[in-house]
Amino acid sequence: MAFELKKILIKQRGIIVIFIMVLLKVILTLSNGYDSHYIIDQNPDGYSFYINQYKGKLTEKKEQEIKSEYYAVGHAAGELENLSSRWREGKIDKIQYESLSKEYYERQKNSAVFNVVYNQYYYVKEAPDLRYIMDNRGWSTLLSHDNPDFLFLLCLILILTPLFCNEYESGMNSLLLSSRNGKYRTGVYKLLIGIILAVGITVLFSLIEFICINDMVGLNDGGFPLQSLELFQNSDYYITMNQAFIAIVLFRILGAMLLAAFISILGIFTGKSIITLFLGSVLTFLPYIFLKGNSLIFFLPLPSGLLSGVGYLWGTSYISSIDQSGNAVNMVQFQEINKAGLGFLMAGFVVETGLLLLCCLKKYSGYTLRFKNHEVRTKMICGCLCMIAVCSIFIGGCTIDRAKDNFTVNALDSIKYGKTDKYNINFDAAKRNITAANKKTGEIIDLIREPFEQDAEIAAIFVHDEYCYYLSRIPQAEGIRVYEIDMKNFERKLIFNNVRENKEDLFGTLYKVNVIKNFSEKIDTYLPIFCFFFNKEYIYYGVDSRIVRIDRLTGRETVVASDVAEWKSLFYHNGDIYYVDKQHRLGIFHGDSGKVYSVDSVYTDQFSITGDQVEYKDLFDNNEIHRIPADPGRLSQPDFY
Amino acid sequence: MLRIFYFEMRKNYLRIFIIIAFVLFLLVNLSLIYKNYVNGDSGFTGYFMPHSADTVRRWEFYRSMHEKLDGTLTAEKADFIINENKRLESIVSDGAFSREYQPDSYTGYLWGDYVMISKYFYDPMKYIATYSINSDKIVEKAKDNIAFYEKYGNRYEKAKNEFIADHYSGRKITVFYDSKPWELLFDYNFSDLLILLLLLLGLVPMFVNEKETKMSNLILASKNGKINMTLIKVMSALTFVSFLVFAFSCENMLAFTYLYGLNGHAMPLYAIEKYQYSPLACSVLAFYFLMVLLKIIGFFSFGLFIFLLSSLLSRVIYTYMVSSLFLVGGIYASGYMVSVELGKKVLSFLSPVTLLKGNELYSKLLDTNILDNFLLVPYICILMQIITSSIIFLFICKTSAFKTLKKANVLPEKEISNGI
Repeated sequence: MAFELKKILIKQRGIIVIFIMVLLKVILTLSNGYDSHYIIDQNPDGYSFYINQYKGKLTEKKEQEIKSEYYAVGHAAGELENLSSRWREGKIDKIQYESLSKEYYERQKNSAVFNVVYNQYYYVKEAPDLRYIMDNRGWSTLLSHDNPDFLFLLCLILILTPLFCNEYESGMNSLLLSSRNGKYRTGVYKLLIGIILAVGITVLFSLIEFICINDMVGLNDGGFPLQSLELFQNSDYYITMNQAFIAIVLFRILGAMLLAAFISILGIFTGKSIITLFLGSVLTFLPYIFLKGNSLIFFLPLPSGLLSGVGYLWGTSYISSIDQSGNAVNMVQFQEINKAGLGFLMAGFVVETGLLLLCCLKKYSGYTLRFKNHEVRTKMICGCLCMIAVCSIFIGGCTIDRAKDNFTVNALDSIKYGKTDKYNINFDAAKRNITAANKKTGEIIDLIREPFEQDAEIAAIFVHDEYCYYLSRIPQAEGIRVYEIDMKNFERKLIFNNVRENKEDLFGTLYKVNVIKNFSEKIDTYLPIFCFFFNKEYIYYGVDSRIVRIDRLTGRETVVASDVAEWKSLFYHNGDIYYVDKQHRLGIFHGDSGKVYSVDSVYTDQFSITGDQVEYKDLFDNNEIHRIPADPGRLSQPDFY
Repeated sequence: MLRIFYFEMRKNYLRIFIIIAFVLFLLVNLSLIYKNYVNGDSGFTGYFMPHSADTVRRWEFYRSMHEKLDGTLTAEKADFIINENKRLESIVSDGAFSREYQPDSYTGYLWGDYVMISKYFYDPMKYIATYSINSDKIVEKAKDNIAFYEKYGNRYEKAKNEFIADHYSGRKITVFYDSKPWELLFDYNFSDLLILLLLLLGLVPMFVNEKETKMSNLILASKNGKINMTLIKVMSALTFVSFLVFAFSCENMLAFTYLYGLNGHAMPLYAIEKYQYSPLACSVLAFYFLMVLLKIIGFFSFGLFIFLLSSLLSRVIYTYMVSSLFLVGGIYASGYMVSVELGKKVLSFLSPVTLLKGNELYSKLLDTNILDNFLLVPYICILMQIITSSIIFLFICKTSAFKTLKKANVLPEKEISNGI
C-alpha cells in the first residue's frame, strides 16, 4: 500500500498537482474575500462594538437595550443640537456640554452600523430561541454558498484518474494479473488509496477554506444555532454552526468517496486516461449547470450534490411573483430535504459507493505501473506560472496623476465649480453635466459629450491645474470611477476604478457579482457626494456624513471621519482635511498620522483657510472672526489654548 | 496529403467514444433548451412564461396576436395596441380591479390582459416606433462632436464620433416581430461549454498519445513527418472545431425555431432592444452566422493552445489539467471585455473565450483607445487570436518536430566512439 501511495504521489507527480491546486485555492479564497455589508466594511470598529454588546440569545433585557439604543441613535442629532443651543445660551458650561454630548456624538457616528445590527435584531426577534445575534460574515461565507469548488473537483479528478488508467495504457495489466497479489490485493489497495486520497484532499480543502475565512474575518460563536444565518431560517436542522460545518465536510467526504468510486470504475472500464478525465468532469460539473438552483441536484446518484453539501441543510425558500389575476404569490424556489429524506439519501449514497467499489474490484484485473522516464517539465510548468504572474500585472487601475499634495481646496465649492487658466467649469448636479465657459469668448462647452446613454452618473467634480476630474457612480453598484479631462484637447482618461465589472458566472455556476441586494445599500448609491478631491496617494469623497479615503494603489476604502456635518465648511489643506463635526467643533483629519482630532476650543459652522491660517466665526463670540494656525500638530495638543 | 488528413481524422476524431460523447451532448443540449422553454423565466421581471396548464390560454393569446401583428408595422396595428393598452391601464392602475375570472377577456383575467398587452406588444412597439428618433439624436450629437474634437486636436474622439455618425445614421425599424427569442438564442451559451469539453476530449491526446506509444519518432523519420504532419493535424483540428460549431449551432437554431418560433430573420439587429446601440446594421440571421464564425475562430485558437500543451507535456493528465485551468482562466478573463481599464481589456483580448461571446462584443459600441487610435474591440480580439494562433502554431512545429528530432539525432558518446 505504501508503494501504491508513493507511486501516485511521487512518481506520478500527484503531490505537485495537489500543491498547485492548494496554492491556487488559497489565492482564490483570499482574493474572493467574504460576504459582508459595505457599511460594516467602512466602520468595522463600530460594528464590533455593537455586536459584542448584543450578540447571543435575545433576552428581554437585551431587547430593551436595543430598543433604547435605537431610540437614542434616532434622536442623537436632535439631542446634540439641543445641547449645543443650551451651551450657547449659557445654560450649561463647557465641561457639562462635553460630557453630555460625547455619547450622542458617538451614537451618531455609528448610526449606520447600528442600523445593520438593528436589522439583524428584527430578523432574530421572529424566533429568539432559534436565532441569535452574531457577526455572521464568516459563517455566511463558509456555509451559504453552493457553488462548485472547481479547483477541489479538478484536483480530485486529476489525482484519482491515474489510479487504474496507467496500468491499462502501459499494458502492464496482463503482467500484474499473473502475479501473486495482482488480482485482488492490489485492487483493494488501489481502491483504499483512492478513498484515502479523496478524503484527505476533501479535508485539506475544507480546512483551507476554514482557516482563510477565519483569518480574514473570524469564525466566532460557532456554537450559535444554524438558523442565526438568514439563508438557513427555514432549515429543519437544529444544530450549531460548528456542527453544520462538520456535517457539510462529512457530506463532501462521502461525495469524494463516491467520485473516487466513479472514476475508478470509469478507469477500469475504459482503460484510457482521457476518457476517464472527460467523463469524470462531465459527471461532476454538468449537473451544476444543468440544475443550478434546483434541489434535484441533491437527489441525483452523482457526487455533485454531496460535493457541494450545503443544500442538504437548507430550508425551503420562496420567490415572490404576481399571478395572472394580479395577486401576489409565493413560488417555491428551493425545496428542502427533510430529515427522513436525508437519512435515506445518505444510506443510498453509502450503498452506491460500496456497490461501485465492489464492481471495481470484480472488474479489475491486476496492473502495475511502468515507470516512465519522463523528462522533467518543470520549465514548462514554471513558464505557465510565470505567464499567470505576468498577466496579473495587466490587472491595474491607476494611471499617472498630476495632482500635487500641497494645495488648498474649499471642498464645498470645488465639487461644483472650478477654474483653469482658460475656463470656468461648472457641474450641474440636476442634469449630471459638466460645462466649461471660455473666460475670453464666453463660449460654453459641454465636457461630457458621449452620444450614447450611460449607466454611470456623475456625482462631483474636482478641478486642479489644467485638468477637470469627475467622480461617477453606477446606480445600485458598489464602487466609483474617477476620470480626468485634459482641458487643452478635452481628452478623457480613467484615473481610478473600483467598480467590479466582471460579471462572468462560468456558465451559471457562480453567484452574480456586483449586485447590491440590501435596500439601504441601493439607497446609498443615490445619496449626494458632499466633497471630492484627491492627491497622489488617496482619493477622498464624502457621502452620508462620512469622508471615505481610497488608497489608489490597493483600492482599499476606509472611513476617516464619520461625524462630518454635511454642507458646512470643509477644506483640504496640504494633506489634511478640516471640517465641522456634528458638535459644531472644528475637526481635523491629519493625513500623515491617519488620526482625527477635534479642536474643542473652536466652535464654528463656518471657516476658511487662507495661507497657513484658519479663519473661523466663533459661535460663542457672536460670530467674531478668529484665527488659528493651520497646523494639526499644534492644534491637536490639549494645551493649545 | 489528403490521405494523411483523412487518416488523422479517422484516428483522432472518428472514434467510438468521441462519437458517443458528441451524440450524448447533442441530446443534453436539446434537453436543456427544452427545460428552459418549459420552465421559462422566474420572478417579476422575467419575459418568458413557463409552459404549463396555467399558461395555456396566455400562450394562445400570444400566438394569435403575433399572427395578427407580425410584419410591417402599420398605423392601424399601432393604434390598436395603444388603445388596448390605455384601456387596460386605466382599469388596473388604481389596484381595485376585479381579480375574478373574466370569460370575455383575452387571458381570462384583467391583470393578465394588461401584462400581456404591455409587455409583449405595447413596449416593443413603442421601442420600434421611437428608435429612429433616438438614433437620429445620437448621430446629431456625434456630428457636433466631430467638429468640436477636430478643433481641439483630439484624434481619438474625432475618429470615434465619425464612426458613430457613419454607422448609426439612417436607422429605422419598419417591421414588428417578437425579438426576444432571437436575443435568447444569441445569449444561449451552454453548447459552447459542451464544445469545449469535446475539444478537450478530442485534442488533448493528439501529440501525447504519439509520445506515449513512441510513434512520434517514427512519424518524424518519415517523408511528411515534420511540418506537413503538424499542418495536417492543425487542419484536422480546424475541421473538427468547425464541424462541432456548425452541428451545435444548427441544433440550437432548429430547436429555438421549433419551440419559440424565430420569426423575422431579416429584421435588423438593432430591432432587438439589447442591441439598440450595436454598431452592426445587418439582419439577425446574418448576425447569428457572424457569431458562428467568431466561435470557430475562438474555439480553434483554444484548440491550438491545447495542441501546444499536448506537444510540450508528456502525459494526458498534465495536458488536461493545464488546459482546464487555462479554460477557466480564459472564461473569467473574457468577462473584462467591457472593462474601462486598458490592462483588464488586454487580458480579455488574449483570451480566446472572448470571441465566443459575440452577443456581448456587438451588443454596444465597444472600443478602445490605443495610442490615440480608435479601435473596435471585436476587431482587436480577432486580430489577437490570429496572431496568437500563428505564434502557437510555430511553437508547435518547433516542439513537436524540430526539438524531438534534435534529441532523437543525438547519439550517446559511447556509441559514437564505438562506431555504432
